[in-house]
Amino acid sequence: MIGVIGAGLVGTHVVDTLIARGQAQLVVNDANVAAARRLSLRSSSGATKVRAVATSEMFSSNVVVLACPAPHAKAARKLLEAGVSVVSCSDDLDDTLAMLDLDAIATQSRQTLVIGATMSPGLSGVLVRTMSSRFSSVDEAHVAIHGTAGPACAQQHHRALAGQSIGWHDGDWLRRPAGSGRELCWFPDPVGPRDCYRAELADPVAIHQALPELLRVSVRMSANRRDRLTARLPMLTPPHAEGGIGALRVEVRGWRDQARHVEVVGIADRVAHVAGLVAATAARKVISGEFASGARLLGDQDSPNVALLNDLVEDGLRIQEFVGSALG
Amino acid sequence: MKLFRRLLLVLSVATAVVGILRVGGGGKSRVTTKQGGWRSFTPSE
Repeated sequence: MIGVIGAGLVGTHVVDTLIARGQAQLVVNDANVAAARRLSLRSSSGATKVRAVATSEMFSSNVVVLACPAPHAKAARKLLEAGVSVVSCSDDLDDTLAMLDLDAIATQSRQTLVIGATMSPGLSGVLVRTMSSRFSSVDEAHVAIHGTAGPACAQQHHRALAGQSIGWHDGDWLRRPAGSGRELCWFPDPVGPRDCYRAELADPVAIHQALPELLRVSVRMSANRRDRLTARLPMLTPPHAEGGIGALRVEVRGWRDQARHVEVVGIADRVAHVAGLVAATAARKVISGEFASGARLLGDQDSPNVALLNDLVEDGLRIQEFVGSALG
Repeated sequence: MKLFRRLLLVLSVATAVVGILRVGGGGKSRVTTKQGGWRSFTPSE
């Protein structure tokens, strides 16, 4: 049985994807009991049973997807110690680092902890790994994201613009103020070009952990002047219920045929939908035993990256690659 | 009064210039197939 903690947008998409993939029994939990009940009533049908349960009942699941606001490390630790595998949708940097420390506990309890099963980190790591097969060797990965999932994600991104960004640069962690380092990034249509800035996001840590051979890893997030100006203040207006169409752009650089080569892939879709798809697919892969025990990051060598990406495409995720113009 | 008129003239000219620049730069020039652009990606390729 699969449990889902968090009945927000991402949690709802996780439940929808699992049901669409034939999961007959699910349990959901949320700090907002009414939201969990609403989700269970909405998703239950003749053959499918989705029950809203107390947190204690989550310990009887095989896998629990944490789709609630960060931090997840404490909950993940408790679940792992109780012999339950965990899929976390957290994109918080400190939370990701705390969960990486749970590797020994996960290995000892022979359970899997999938860290950062979202659009970024998560899908970004899988795309870097997939694209690396087109190179003789890869040495750089640069990720850019646009948009947010639900209100909790919007608040996390608001905080990320006020913190300290971290990037892997020639064998060392490069710390720079978030909101600096403007770069115009082209996302797939309909998002198009956006000014992106450094932000305190977990992608460099996750991708460096998954592909340690990379020399440079960076992440940028789209923002406008108002976002950057108000980043250090509390959110002036409540976030939208859903952030609309978001996008992910992954640029991989390396060597092919003794020449520098660049590949760019991306997606443009609703962030909550993508995060839900990735988390649900990862949970199914954990159930089917395709992940080894311990703390796992999507894109690492021991994760079922190709199978996961194929499942995502089957579920309707449209991945695009940028084909540059031929000069001359 | 003269200063006020000059100020108004400068402001109106500046508004007109900004307006022209915004309209002129607002066109959505899509990347054509010939130039390259985003294509569907199949992972098993």
